[in-house]
Amino acid sequence: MNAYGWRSIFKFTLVQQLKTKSFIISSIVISVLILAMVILINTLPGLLAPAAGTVDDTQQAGQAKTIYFADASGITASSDFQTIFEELGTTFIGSDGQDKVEEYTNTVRNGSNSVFVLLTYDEATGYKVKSMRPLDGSVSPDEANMMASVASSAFTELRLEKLGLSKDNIPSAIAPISIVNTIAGEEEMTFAQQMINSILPMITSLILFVMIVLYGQLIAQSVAMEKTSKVIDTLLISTRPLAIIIGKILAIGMLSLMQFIGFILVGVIGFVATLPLGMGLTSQALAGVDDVGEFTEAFGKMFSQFSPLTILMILVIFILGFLFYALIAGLIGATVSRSEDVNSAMQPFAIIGVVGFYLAYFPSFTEDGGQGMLKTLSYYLPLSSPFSLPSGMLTGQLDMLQVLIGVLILAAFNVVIALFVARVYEQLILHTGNRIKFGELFGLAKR
Amino acid sequence: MALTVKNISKKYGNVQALSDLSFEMSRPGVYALLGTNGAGKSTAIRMILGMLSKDTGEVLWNGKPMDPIKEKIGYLAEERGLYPKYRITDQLMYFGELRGMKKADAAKAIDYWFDRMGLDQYREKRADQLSKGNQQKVQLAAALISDPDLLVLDEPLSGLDPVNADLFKSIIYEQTAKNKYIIMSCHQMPVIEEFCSDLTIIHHGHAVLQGDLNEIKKGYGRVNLEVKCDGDILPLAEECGLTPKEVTPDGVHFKIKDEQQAAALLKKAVDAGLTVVRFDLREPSLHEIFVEHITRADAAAKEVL
Repeated sequence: MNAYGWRSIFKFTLVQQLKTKSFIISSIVISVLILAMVILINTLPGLLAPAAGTVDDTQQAGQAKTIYFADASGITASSDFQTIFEELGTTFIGSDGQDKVEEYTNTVRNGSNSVFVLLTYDEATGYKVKSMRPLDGSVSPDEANMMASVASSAFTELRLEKLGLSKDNIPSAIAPISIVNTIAGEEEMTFAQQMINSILPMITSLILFVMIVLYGQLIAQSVAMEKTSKVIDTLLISTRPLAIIIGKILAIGMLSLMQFIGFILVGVIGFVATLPLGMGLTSQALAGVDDVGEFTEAFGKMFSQFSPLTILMILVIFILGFLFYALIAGLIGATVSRSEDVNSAMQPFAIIGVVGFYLAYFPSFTEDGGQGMLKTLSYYLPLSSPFSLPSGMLTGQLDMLQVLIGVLILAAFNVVIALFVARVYEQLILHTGNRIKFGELFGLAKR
Repeated sequence: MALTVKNISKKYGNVQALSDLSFEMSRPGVYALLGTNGAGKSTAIRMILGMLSKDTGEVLWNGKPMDPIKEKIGYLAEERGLYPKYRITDQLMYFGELRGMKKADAAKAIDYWFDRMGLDQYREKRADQLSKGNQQKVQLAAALISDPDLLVLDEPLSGLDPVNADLFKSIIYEQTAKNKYIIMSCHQMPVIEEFCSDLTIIHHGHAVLQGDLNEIKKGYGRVNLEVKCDGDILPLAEECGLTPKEVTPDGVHFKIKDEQQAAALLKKAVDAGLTVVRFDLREPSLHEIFVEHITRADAAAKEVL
């Protein structure tokens, strides 16, 4: 099998595809969308939030000026809470038992800028902290909640103290307890790592999946167009069918890579350029996380995997994965005799891609955090390994030997598929008439 | 140089598309492959050019198995094909490069053929912006761009207007004058007669007639007589034992046994005082030979059934 002339086909296909209106328009539109998206992420929340020092802000700050406190817990007294609330800048009016509950309720309901905090005990439900706010809306639900929360935290510590625990022992008594479940002998994953392990496979799988679907369609259409426009007859006296399919697949693969890198660059430039503009979602997301350090550490661990060898392997996996699916797409393009049949012929291709994608993506959400049998299978099955191997490397779930085994299996499958496609493509390329059915392809390969 | 086709056969499923076709082209010129639609001409051409695998047989160019990719070959396919959305100049450059030409040589050849074919004004156009005739010119330019030694033209004149047909013919003449080997498939018999030295007529995958066209015609002898005169020739023809094959406003066509019959009819016409406008004694046309052989082959096939 001779691939003489593939370079000319590669060059011509790449240059002509770059010149097509559809490529130019889709590149511009998607770049603009990406740019708009990252700018919005970085600026919109900041722009929508009211500016500091406005009337609303000052009103919020001075809402609850008086705290009515009724302690019916039976353990603590309202006076235990006085200092805590006065330190918040409020006037504290307290009572013990339930005698003043009705009075405080009416006062707060009909008054303004005050909150009534009621602490009770019930045998069935335990302790309860209830905050009540005025009818006129001068205190927001958040502010009332905050008062209840302050009371709750203080009550937890005061309760333990009243029960005889020394102040020094209280922090260790109230420290939270987390439950971790790992495979024996393996390091436990933090929440941040679990999040990254779930999201990263999705992102890498999604990128490759989109490339395969979009550009697989382009390959199939391009092959079918050469057949239907009869250009193939002119090409076949100058080059072999194998060279045509290889040149075409590599050109469109290169095109997809260029477009993809372009999109990433646009996104990164837009993101970096607009980061200082405001309080964006990125900053808010980080601020909302209890332990930002955990995420930083998890990301740091992930990026520490980026050795030149890792980058090379990821590139090889992407190329092999793309080739695997591109060869199938080229074959499908050769089975049809009319361009309009390409879409229906490509349906099985899309199904194969979806199966591979989900096989790589969904095990990440299983209870074992994507370390089970299904996930292991996805690393070595050629259908799914292009989607799962890169994330397996980045998250440190695979060592280099495991990655190499996955890559070798994928490469071997590529060779088998390429030989099959080359044989069948030679038979199909001049075929006109009805679309060749899947079962007939094996018969053609045997000829 | 010589092209030798030896016993090439091709079967599609149960259909024998071509059976044991052999011929040799030992001198430059035009070799015609003729046949009805679906006879197997295009299959033969694709096998000669290595585009289709051969079930049996071989094709030799200068005594060696032909590799179209390595040899200087040009091909104008029956079903015209260009990339509809790409510039024609880019396409010709691509076809030139695929034939192993350097960019500068390809550009020079494109300039020449654009000028020769009157395509200069369409250089920047896409293929789908050109008329069918102009697209055909671009295709011929693609076949000729690498200055091939062997040129295969499958129905080169179909769909062309008379002006463009003359242009194509003049280019074919130029190529024959440059001692190129040309294989041509064509349904227009006068065109074949105009150019070709040797031919093969294929019917249902079998060669039904092969050889030098002049020799084939000579073998038939001058048995066609066309007469036009200002009176009624038919009674005189009957006296000579001739039955008209065709009567048209342009004259009467007789099939004669020998030239003496023609001489007798001419004498009778002159003696009867008729003015003879045209008296044409000639060999059968290629059209007549073609139809005769196809009809004979069909009749033979029916007998077998």
